[in-house]
Amino acid sequence: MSVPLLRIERLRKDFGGVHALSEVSFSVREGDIHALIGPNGAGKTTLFNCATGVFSPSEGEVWFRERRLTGLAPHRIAARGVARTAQNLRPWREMTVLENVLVGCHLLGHAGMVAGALHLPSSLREERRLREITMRRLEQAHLAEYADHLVGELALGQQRMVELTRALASNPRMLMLDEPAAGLHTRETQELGGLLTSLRGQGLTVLLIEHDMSLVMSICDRVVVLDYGEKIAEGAPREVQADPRVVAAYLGEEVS
Amino acid sequence: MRGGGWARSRILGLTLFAAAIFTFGLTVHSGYLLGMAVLIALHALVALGLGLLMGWAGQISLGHAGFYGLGAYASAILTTRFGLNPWLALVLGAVGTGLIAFAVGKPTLRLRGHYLAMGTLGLGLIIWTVFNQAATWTEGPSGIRDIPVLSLGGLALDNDQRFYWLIWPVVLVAVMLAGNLINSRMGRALRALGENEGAAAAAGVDVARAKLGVFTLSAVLASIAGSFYAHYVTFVNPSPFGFALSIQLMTMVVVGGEMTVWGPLVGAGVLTVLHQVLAISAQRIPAMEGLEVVAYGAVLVIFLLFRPQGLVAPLRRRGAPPRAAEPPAPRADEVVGEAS
Repeated sequence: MSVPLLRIERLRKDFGGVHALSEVSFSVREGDIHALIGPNGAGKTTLFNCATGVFSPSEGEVWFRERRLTGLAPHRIAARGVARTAQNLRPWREMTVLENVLVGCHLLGHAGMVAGALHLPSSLREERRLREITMRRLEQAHLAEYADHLVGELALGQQRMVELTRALASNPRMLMLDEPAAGLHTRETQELGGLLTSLRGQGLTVLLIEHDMSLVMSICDRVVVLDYGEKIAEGAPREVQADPRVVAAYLGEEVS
Repeated sequence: MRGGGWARSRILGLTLFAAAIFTFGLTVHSGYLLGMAVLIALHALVALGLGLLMGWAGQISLGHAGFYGLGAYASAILTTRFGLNPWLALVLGAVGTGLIAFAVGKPTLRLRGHYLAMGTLGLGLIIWTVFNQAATWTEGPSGIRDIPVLSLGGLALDNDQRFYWLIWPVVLVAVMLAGNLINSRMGRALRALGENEGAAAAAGVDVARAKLGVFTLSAVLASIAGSFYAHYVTFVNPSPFGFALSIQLMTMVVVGGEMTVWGPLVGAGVLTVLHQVLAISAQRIPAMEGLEVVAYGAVLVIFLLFRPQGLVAPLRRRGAPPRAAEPPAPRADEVVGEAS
């Protein structure tokens, strides 16, 4: 069996006396779309935050491409090839669509403040290169005509596309999405599903938190279910769906 | 804007600014007004750097008067005691001030929240105390006299008019460089972290380092302005570099607007003129004495309440259409909707 791209190992996170995560372990295979589901407060976002360096876990480790991520600062984890979106990390509304995706390209450049202020030839060359990459990305995402709009002016579905385009701009190996379909119409959600499937076709691995079960069922290869900070099920979407513990977790019933 | 070049609006702005500098310099001959213009320019240089820090990195410094003073004293001491060339003294002062800012910013900017404000508040007070107490070097409260004037190509810049023609082109260049920075890779990173730090870090921006960079840069700019001050007035004493000036500089940024490079410039103009008006009124009407501090406080509060974006707001935001509605919360009933 091939080595997993991302390995979560016995992850535990306590906030005071609250166990947000306890002993959660699972792996994400390269090239999969992997879903993380569970009722509100199950610890999904906490797991994302532990994996991307926003929180440091109380115990356990996170490995990516056989290198440890635990203990690294968020920007270093991004530099390893893990891009993420989050519900509180929406695009920069006061910046244009072009600028948003340019910031997404941050890791592809090197120019510092002094080089940028003095317009050194190397920084201008780099700027041109980043802008070419950005425009290409915007064209692929059908956002080119909005390049100079402030993100705050766009419709929600378009803002979500900006967010995805920004996250993809630095050519990550893995994309972590926190509720990418939240607030989208059915048609927009289907388009999102189509886009994620085609990204998988290009070799990208996706780990997503999602409440929209039709999206999860239609595009995901594997699903992990969390409840009260514990992993209660894992497997292919159909298996997980039939698991009585999962149904109980969602309906709030005891399993007898 | 494509290709990293300059937007037309920037070229227009800088051209108009240069034209204004020329027109004022050629038509105004009053030493008082030119002196006032020089003072505005010196404050504008400090406010410009402070504006980058406050507007783009979302941090407040309460010690910029201290950095301004460090530049002034470095130039004063290095030229009068050691006979250094004033331009060399300016560079050495800027490097030294930059190192001090770096040392203070490094630990405080790793933490979230306004630790930098507290750190720089303390630093500003320490610097001010040293100016007063280290009399062997600074001559204490009586100050350092007979600082040599700057000269440029053999021409001594020994009057208001000549100094005007040096300092305002310097401001023009500083505005130009600040504009370049804002539209560069690191400038965008700063704006991104000013709006949402977590998102910037997730995009790979080293947040602490970017903040430290802009803080150090703003301290260096303040120091350079301080050196110019020393060679313009040819005398330094501690009193101008106290906490009151730090507040005044911060007010300049707030009043002018921190989201464009022009804001701090306008703020420096408005506040420096206000300062003069209040000082003159205090001389004529004894009851006005000490009212200055109240005036700054009032101006600061009024702007924060009623015009937080300052006098100069970015153009495009004014015409922006109403925002798209916030997304509805995800519906809980959909969670297992497909589970059957």
